[in-house]
Amino acid sequence: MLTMVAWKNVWRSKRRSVIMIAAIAVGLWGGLFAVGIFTGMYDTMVSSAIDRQYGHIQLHAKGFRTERLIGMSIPNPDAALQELRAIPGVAGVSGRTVIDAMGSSATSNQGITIIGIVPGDEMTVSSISRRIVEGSFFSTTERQPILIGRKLAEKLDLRMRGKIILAFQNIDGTIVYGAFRIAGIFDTEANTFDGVTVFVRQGDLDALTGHHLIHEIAVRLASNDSLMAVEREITQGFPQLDVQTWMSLAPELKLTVQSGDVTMAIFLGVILFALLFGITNTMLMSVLDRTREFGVLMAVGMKRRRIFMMVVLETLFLSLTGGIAGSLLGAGAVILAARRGISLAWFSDGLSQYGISSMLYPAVHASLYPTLALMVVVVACAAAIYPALKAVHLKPASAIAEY
Amino acid sequence: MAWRNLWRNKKRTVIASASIVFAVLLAVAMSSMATGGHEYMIFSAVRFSTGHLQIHGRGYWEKRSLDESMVYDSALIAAAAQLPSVAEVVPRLESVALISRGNATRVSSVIGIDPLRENAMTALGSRVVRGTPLLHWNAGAIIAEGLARMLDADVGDSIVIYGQGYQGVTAAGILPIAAIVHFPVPDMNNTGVFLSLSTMQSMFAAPDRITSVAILLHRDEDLSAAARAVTALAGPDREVMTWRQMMPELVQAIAADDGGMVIMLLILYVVIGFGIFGTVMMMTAERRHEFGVAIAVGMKRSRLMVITSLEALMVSMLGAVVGILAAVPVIAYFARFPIRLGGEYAAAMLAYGLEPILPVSTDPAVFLLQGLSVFLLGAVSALYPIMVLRSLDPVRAMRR
Amino acid sequence: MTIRLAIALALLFPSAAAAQDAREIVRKANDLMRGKSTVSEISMTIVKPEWSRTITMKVWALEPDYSLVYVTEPARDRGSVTLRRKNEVWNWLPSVQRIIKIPPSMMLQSWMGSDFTNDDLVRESSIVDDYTQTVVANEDFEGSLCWKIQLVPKPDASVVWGKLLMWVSHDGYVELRTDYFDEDGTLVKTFVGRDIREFDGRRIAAHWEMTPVREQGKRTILEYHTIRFNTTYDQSFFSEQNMKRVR
Repeated sequence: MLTMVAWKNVWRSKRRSVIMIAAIAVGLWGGLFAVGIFTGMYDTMVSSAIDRQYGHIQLHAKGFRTERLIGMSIPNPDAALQELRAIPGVAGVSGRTVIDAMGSSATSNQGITIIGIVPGDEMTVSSISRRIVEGSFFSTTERQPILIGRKLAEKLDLRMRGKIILAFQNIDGTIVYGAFRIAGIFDTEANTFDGVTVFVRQGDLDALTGHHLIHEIAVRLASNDSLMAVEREITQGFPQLDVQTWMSLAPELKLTVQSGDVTMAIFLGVILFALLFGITNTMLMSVLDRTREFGVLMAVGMKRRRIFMMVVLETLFLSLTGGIAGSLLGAGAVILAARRGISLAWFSDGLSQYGISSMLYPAVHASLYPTLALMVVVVACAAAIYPALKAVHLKPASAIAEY
Repeated sequence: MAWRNLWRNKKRTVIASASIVFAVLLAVAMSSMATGGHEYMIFSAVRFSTGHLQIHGRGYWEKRSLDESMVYDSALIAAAAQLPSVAEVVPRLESVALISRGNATRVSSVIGIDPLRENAMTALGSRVVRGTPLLHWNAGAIIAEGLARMLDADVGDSIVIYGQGYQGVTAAGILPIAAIVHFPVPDMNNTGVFLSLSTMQSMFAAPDRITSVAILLHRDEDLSAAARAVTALAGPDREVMTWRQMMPELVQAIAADDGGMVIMLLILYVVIGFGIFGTVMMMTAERRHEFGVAIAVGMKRSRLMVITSLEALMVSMLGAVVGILAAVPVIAYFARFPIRLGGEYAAAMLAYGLEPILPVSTDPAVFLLQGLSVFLLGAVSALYPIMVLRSLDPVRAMRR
Repeated sequence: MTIRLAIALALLFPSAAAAQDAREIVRKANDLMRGKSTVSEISMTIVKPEWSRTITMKVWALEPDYSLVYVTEPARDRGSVTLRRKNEVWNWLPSVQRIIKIPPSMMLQSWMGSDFTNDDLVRESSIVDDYTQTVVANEDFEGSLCWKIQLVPKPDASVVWGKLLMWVSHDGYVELRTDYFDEDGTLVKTFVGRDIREFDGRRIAAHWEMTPVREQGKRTILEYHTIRFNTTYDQSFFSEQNMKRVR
């Protein structure tokens, strides 16, 4: 009964109610959109790093990550690759030969890391094939092609088709030399990567070493959500290997994501506070306008408690209506923006050089909506308290007289 | 007259300006947290590496060899330390060498430091996990944990340092490990040997020489001004670089964050603006009767519009000023007693050597800018009552 | 008849004959410095724009995998020894009384900090086997008549150069000058050999200079004081114990 009265009261002052619902809706829309943008931004940051080199999960022989000796290779690599590909949720697997070497040109030399790949496999795991700025990703007739970073090319004063000599120590201790020709130059966002990393065909490297050595297996998942589950499965299946997720390979990345979460939580908090003030303000005005009405109600015997509840219910109805409208608007905005993508080039010239990574695809985790709904309810109740108290503490006689 | 109008209906005025006050408080809070966070992020990144600025011998940053080192100029360091924007001045002598123990040899950076100054900037002392605490350190080498492990060495074991010193002279020495430090980033943890500046200068045949002076500022905002001042002090034989030039990757990362912050502030303005506008709309609606009467008894419409606008502006201004004044103690409190974060995130931050707090900026520009922005939002909202007044039909208004 | 045929053939295929000669010429020049085992006393001066440093050393070498370098000057470095056995390199540092093992990657860079690379001094037979040699002219260089030989790397050769030009003296097959070009044909560094003297029955340049062309004020000078070829040292000489004992 009280509920119906409250509901009717809400719509009595159409203008005020509509305004307030709109304000709440805008608040929620804003909050959701901002969260969408931030989530999208951090997702992009994480995916860029995952795409570029880490993959979601990496396997190594124990000790390889610190020692990086050529002899520390993964035993039975081809069987391992097959087994990993069969795991559900796995989108791509790439076995890499990783050798620290010296790269020399006529002008200079540089300590580098050689990564021997099977191009088709690597494409399913990393985005390096999309980062080629000159030449191609191993579709070449060059006998021993090599891909090098732009920074390294500059350091060694080399161009397309230039010759680079790779030298490293083989398993038996002998020094191996190989001549490679630049078939492609890549540019990722990370100068440290570009300056020391080169890619060659695994077959060419095997011919030089005389062995088929795989030091690193990178696994890419269809979605980051299955990360921990797949990691567990891989660890159980390969107890003799060192299995790491991107979170432990790049702890700075994880830290960045978490700081993003904190920022978003704070922003939502601020928005909710704004709504709190707004609702309180509006309800207060509504209550003050109805002083006579409340006076009459109390004079005819309506208990204070019920008036209190009525005001609270009115606030709740308004807030929930606004909340639902806002959630729908917010979700819609996020989906729309995600489809078209937002270009961050507006905000930074630096980012705009970096092609794909400056596009932002907003996203919101589904779990946010119920949490937000709950917060709206809490805020509404909190906002209602002061106005409701005001309503019931009016003296009936003076309230009536105020008219 | 506008002023008197305001105080005739105190409650209405208070409510209206309250919405502005709260809007200012929120805008200031968010902007202050955003600015504070931005500063803190830069501060945390530069203090563990390059500092905000560095002075080098000319050509050092590109060549990175001891041959481009410069003389340790204590006058220059003292002068730099006295600049008001400067927090710490840290001299270093840096090179690369082979570190050997038994049959294990690794390439590592070797850094000669002034422990007190170094600790003031990078908190190296807090990274010591075994061995002599930094402030009691007076002999031996401090070595990164990962490197120690690779050499199978611990505190007390001797390591051989062998490399090329200044002007091609061989640098060789053997020192006991005095302490082991742990860095959270694996790349940093696997390399790094710290010697006292004098020990390294004699070992690398570089008496009285250093490769860089790292400068930490109080605020990143002072960067360009400080860079100019330091360049003037350093003279033409030395180069001065900012962290932006030395760490371009960090610039990109921060730009992305800044972009996000701008978006969030804009969204907040939309939300606040809507709130203010809504309040204005409601109040205008309630005053229709009043407006109608005024026009009916002969007040010129235009005069009424002026008065109403003035009221709106005054309310905005009042609200903005009160908002700024109210925000000051709140922000000041949180600057002094910052909110502490908890949970996994806080633990991760601590591991990096960062304090898990929510930093806020006390820069007056934040307060003024946000106060002004909200005032403008209020002023823009004032257009609504004017539009209403233009087309107000006094008879219908009074009938309500 | 056969003589006329031979002359005719020689005239018909002059380049073939010359190519054969070119390879032989280069081989002979290369072999001048080679011996199963050698002992030499050398001074190396590294010249940089702001400073220069001279190291004097005694070098025992057993082709192809063993060498021991003992530094006699300057005083600060006297007694330090570099030992190479096959693919392992050690240094003995008298100042700290320790032997340390050098990562092989160090071998892949410049030789002892000079402008000579390992390739230039140590990598065997590369100059003969990895290149196609042709005589392009007969020229005078600093008073000696030389074959001017062009060396072009074979397609699979692991050498950084695009081309070499070498001047080898007619008299004695001494390598007097070599220009090193990158693949764009730009001159990167120049080697010059001077002061031809007799060492243990062979006439060799005693003064070697390597000058990188694009960097001002930098070069490396090797001065050979004595060389003995085919000495009696064998593998057992090249040991870690010997590093501390050798003089």
